[in-house]
Amino acid sequence: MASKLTSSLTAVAAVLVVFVIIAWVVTKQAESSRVDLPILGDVTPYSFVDHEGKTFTRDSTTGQLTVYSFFFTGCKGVCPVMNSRLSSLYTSFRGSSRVRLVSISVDPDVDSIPVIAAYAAQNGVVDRNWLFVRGPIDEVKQLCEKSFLLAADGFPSNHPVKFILVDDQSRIRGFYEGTDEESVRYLKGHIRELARTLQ
Amino acid sequence: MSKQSAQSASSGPAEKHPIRGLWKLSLFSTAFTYFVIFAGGLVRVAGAGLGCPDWPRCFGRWFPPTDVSQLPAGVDPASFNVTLAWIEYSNRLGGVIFGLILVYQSIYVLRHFRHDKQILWTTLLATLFTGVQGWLGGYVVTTDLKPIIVTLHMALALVILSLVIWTLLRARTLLDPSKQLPREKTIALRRWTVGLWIFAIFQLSLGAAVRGALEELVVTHPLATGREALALVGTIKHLHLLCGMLMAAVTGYIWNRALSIDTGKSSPIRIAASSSLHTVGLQILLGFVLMLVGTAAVAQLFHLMLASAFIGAVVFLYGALQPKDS
Repeated sequence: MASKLTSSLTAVAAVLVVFVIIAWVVTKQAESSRVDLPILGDVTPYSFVDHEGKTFTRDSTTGQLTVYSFFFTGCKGVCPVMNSRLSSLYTSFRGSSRVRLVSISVDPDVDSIPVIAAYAAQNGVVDRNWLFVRGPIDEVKQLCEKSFLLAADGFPSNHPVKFILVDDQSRIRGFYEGTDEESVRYLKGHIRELARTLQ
Repeated sequence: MSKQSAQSASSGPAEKHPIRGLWKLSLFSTAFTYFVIFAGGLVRVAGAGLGCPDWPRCFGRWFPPTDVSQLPAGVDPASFNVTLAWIEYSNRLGGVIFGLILVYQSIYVLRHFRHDKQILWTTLLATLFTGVQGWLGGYVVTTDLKPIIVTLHMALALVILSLVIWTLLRARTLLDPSKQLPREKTIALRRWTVGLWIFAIFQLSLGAAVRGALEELVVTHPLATGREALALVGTIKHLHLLCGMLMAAVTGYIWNRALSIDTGKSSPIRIAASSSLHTVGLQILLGFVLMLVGTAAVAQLFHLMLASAFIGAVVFLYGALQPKDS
């Protein structure tokens, strides 16, 4: 009886060990698969000015994750929807220095620093975790077309509605539909997983 | 009617065959239930619940895609993660195989045990519930992992587990009826055991609510560590802990009484009562580990598996307490 009990317990323990190993391997695999986002290109250098009037360049984002988007303050169609999605990201990652949102104006002639500063305030921005930036239109177009491979021929009314996730080394890791709630949810998940790898 | 089965079971080796068959079959389906619960738990802790965003197919295919190029047109590539898709799919596949095993078991029971109401109903109900469970699994996906639906999905899995174990025990009793005690000795303890089972399902739902609260915190505090998130979970966490302690006390009481009515060293009652007590003890220990290490995925999974083992042990105890005249 005792040997039967011992062999039963050994079998249970062996099964348990196998299952612990399976669970450990699978959860680790799932964890790493989340940060295993493709590298889709590099962001070329640029130099813009943010809504506080400070110079903002590609290197200003080094060491943190950046979500780029395009807007213009006169935009009444998709921009409010995109802003509400960005606003939810901004609220979620508030207080973290690892994540920053950058909205680039596609109508710099109208969107002066005071105009974009007022626009930032309108969107509830209270710190530098969400920056509205402006720069020469050619530079904006170049960034849009050359780095993000998005069409820039219909500015300002026809601007991309995608959000672009860029990692801490200025590498593009994903494109997301800025008006689609589900797509933005994936973006949020991807930011979370990538941000966890940053110290 | 069940007496007839028992009698026929002891009348000769040839008649014993169907009972042995059922015993083996239900042993296999019990083990498989634990495997599917494990796969489901893995989906939960790996965060793979939406690995396949559609149902019953996965990205429009009967087998998940292995590459982003296989995605149907119009599907957001950001939604595809091959690892998570296959983790989720393993639970679906396990569920389908389990359903087929139960259909086979039902046919077997209808052929050989249609006069034994306990075997007939537990098997048929388990099969029916498994069908419902498949549908509910789809509903979990289409409702974007709504916490109440996820909890229901898990609770139903444990009800199915209880039914499958019940069949197993009934088969065991038919094989060896000598270990049963008279009704007057077991009746009070059986009531306590039913109470403990209901309490365990309630406690499990509380645990699921803690998990749900943690998931909501991921949305509002995406960068919080597991430990930080757990610290933010309020009353429900304390209630879960309190109920765990209470459950341990009730299990201890039942164990003590079970030992006093059955002194046989390796009797099923004794084994079941001891298993319940050990499981609840381990479960509390693991609960504390979760609080200390911050809800590590593997620990969470085994917290759920131990809960399933506990429920299994309680049903086993109830079955072992079946009186001689049933």
